[in-house]
Amino acid sequence: VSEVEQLKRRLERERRARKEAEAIAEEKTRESYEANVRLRRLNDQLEKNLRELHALLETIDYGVLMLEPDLRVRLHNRAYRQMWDMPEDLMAQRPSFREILEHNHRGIYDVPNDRWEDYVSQRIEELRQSAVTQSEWRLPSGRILEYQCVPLPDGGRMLTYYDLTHLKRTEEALQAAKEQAEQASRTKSEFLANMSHELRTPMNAIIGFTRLIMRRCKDLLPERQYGNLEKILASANHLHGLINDVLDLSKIEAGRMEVRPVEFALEPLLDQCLRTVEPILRGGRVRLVKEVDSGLLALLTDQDKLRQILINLLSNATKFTEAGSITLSTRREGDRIAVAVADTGIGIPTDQLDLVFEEFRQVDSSSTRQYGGTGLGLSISRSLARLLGGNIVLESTPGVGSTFTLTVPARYQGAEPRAPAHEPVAAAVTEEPTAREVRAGGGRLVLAIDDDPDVILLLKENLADAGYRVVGASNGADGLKLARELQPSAITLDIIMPEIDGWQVLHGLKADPATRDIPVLLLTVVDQKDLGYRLGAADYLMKPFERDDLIAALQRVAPHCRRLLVVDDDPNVADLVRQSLEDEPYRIDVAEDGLAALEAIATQRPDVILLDLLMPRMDGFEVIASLQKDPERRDIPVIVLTAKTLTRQERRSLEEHARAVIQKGALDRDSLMAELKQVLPETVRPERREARA
Amino acid sequence: MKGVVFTEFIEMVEDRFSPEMADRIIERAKLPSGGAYTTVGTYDHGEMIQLVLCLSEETGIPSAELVRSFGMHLFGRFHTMFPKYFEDVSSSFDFLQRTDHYIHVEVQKLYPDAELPSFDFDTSQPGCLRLTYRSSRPFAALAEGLIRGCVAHYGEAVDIAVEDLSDGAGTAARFLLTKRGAAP
Repeated sequence: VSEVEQLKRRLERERRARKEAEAIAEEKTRESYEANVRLRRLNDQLEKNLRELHALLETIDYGVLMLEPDLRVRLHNRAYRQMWDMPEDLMAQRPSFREILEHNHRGIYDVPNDRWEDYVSQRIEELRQSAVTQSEWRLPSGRILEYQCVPLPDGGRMLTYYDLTHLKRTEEALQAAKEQAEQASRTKSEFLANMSHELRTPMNAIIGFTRLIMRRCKDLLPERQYGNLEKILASANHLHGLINDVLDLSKIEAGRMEVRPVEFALEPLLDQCLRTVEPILRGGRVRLVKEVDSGLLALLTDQDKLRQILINLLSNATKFTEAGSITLSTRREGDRIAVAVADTGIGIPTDQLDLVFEEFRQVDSSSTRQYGGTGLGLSISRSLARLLGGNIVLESTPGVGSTFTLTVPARYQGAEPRAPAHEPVAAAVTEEPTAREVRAGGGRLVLAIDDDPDVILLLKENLADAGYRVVGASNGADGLKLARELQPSAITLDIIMPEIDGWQVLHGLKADPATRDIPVLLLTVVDQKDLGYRLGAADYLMKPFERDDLIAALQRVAPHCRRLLVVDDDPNVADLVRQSLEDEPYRIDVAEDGLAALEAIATQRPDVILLDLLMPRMDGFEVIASLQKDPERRDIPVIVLTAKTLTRQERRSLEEHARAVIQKGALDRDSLMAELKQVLPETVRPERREARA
Repeated sequence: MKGVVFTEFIEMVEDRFSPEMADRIIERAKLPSGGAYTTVGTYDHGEMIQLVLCLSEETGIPSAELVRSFGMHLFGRFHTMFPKYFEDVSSSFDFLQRTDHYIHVEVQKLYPDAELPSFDFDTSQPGCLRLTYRSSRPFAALAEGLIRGCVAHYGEAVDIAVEDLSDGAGTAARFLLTKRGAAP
């Protein structure tokens, strides 16, 4: 190989190597340029962060002083400079900690000159310790500082100071105020305790002696003087009551009213309350009625407080009832009992329902004059009811009467959380009754679904005397649930409601076989009748509604429907009856034996009873006998449905008390309809379905 | 493998043997890069093996010996090219112990794609340094040359014993360096 060729090759290799190196160099140059750009950006960001951090440091209330490992100043902030009155230019020279102490602290610390050196050495020695130190300094000026020294990883020190002076002063002032308030509260309690004694003692004397004179000197005194004594006694009794009320209220407010639960039977207590108010009834024009649920067990609660509440509600009712009746009724609601006092008195206007429970308030302030009383009774009663874990709610129609319902746990469970002081009464009024309670009432049931409690209240008020009972649901979910549970004759439905709106509720009602057939009356400010009818609404009314329009609409969509009670232990019979009467305006209830039947009849009076004879627990004959004994239920028509071969005596007995006897083998739609037509000819109206079409 | 190893190798061949020899082995080795090496490039280590084999065939010197001599030569060149790594280092033991923790770390910073061998050190015996080489490439002989070059650089009297740990593959070896006069 010639040398020239070798050199050529070598030259070629060197040239290629050079080109490669140049390419690499170019690539590296570009990379380093890009890296530089990135670096500059990062640096800018870092600087920005630092500026922000610095601004933050300058803003905070904590005095910050950061020292280098040799205890020269590294960093400081505004709060520090202000706290220690350090000039910024001095700090900029990065003085040592000793110089800082020398500059200013000498005066601040109030250390004698001959001990200053020792003091500075001690402070520097403390700083050199590697542990976190913390202390609270009370300076001679009265300032209080929280001080902390934290060693930094690089050997530096971070000193922070926080001025607690203001905080400590406030804390001390608060403590003093608290002690003062507690003292005042103790004084008030003592005053009240004394007052109760001091006020009651002379009142008892006045009442006692007045009674004594009246009894002993009745014959001696002129009639006018005796009359004056009667006035004194009445006034004294009134004042005595007022004092007791005021003291009770103070006790409740102070949280010093104690509950003393005892076991007792409710009925004797009710009798006692009725006897107490009997003397103050207005002559013979007001009747006291007692309706007691015999299933009530013994109660465990504060008997005295319950008595106080009931006497108060009853005497309140007597005050405002000129004529008619005051009904005291009880019922059990799960683990609670409800006692209702219903009067036929003047009633309370809807817009003033929330006033009656307020202290010192009566609906018409002039009514105090007319009706007497302190205006404290209802307020105290409700407070007591809540103390027992219950509540009192009020329903009222002016000119018709009022019903106060007290609900308390049958067994007192200790204090419940306090209810808000001004709970809207409308909400309490629309409190949902139980399904059983609703069914127990007479009249056709209307479910009102509306988020506005006032609308529900208005429906209740307006429909009550048209024979409808209204149950309210304040939202769509409750409405759907209640519709299934209660099977109302009709539903009124609002459109604009939170969460589930009326359109969704309407859809839900129509999609569920259990509620599909309940007519729905839209009652809304939204004018979209077409959509409403398309979704299956039976009628559409605009708010504000006219009472007559509403009742007409209800009568149109939900005409009266008869209630038929099937009593049979064989579920197939009820099924057969239900299918037979599918297109007829009957509502069918089922009881599986005699006892259940009597219970169902007591709960709600049926229009017809279809009765089997042979059943467990109580048979059909006993049911008939039981009904015959009850003057109010004796006339309910009974159709006997039986597979039994009847004896002559049985047949005779049935002929006397049953409208018809159908042998089960012969049960078919036609014979059943024929019998029903005979018993209740006016009920079978084939045109009924048209209303819904 | 970094380009500097190749350029140094070629230069060594040109100096120790002749430019013709360098040209011959490059031609003979049929290298993918064509033998156009630059210090800033990176090349397949297989080319180095190829070049050494060709040189061995051309000269009749065993390839391990060639690689060892190259290692010794390379160390001297490193000292000329990268004096900063030699600052404040006064002995071969010192220097060798810095390779893994300092020099290789610095190399990795400059060349993130460099695949470097690892060195473990054992200095539990006074006057002795036990150095274990592990690499994905078969250059135990190059490591030995570098170590010898290092000892020569500091002009020290150190005995070097080599123990192969890779069954002749050359990817792992243990070097026991004993200062003369110290107990082995």
